[in-house]
Amino acid sequence: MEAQKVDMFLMMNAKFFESHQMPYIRERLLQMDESKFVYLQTTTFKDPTISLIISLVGGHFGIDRFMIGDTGLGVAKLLTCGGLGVWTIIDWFLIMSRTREVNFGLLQQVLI
Amino acid sequence: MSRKKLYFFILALAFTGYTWVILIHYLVGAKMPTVEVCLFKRVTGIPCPSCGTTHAVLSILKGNFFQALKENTLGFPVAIMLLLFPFWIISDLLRKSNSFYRFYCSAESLLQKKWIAGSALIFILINWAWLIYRNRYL
Repeated sequence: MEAQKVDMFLMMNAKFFESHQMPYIRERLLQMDESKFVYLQTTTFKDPTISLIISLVGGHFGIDRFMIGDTGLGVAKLLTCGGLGVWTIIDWFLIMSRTREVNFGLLQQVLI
Repeated sequence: MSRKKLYFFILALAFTGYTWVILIHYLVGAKMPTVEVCLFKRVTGIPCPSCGTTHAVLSILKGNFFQALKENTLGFPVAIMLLLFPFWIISDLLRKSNSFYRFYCSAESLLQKKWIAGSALIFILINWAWLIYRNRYL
């Protein structure tokens, strides 16, 4: 793909990924076939900030975990009163990086 | 989530669960007031969808299934998971197989299907409504 397009994509979507993954993503996007650009643009990534807000509000019921696709952990969190309240608080700090991880997984699916 | 991470996590969760159930069992036996850790219940005053699960699990272990239904229906799946999962994982680790991991992945994708997720949600909401009703009027 053209470097200009890749840089534009990275600028628009920087918040969805971890900063240390950026060089790797850029490298892979540059090698990617032009025809896959449409798929890339139609992929919707999950916003880490939104998941943090959901974690603050509904983290006790595991809604944050359900939202990013960790259904099993969401069920565990729901059934244990948010891990007796402890897991809820831990997740306030972990959920943003986990969301970025999930986004990276989504991107990998497009790139393959 | 990787297999190793998942197994460690579920084992830790099950260990905490067992410790918690045993602790509450002794507190109930000694007629001491049980601790109420639910953040949601403390803040809002109404029980959360899984409040009462520990007591339901204790009732199931004593064979009082009707009492467990009254306390919280979610006690049944929790009791089954607590009795089954840790031993399944330990046998998996000993046999170096990953049958539990495969089960977890398929259960996760099954739960993401719309009609299953929807019916589970409706069940949890009905259960929650019952819990709030019981807490207020019974």
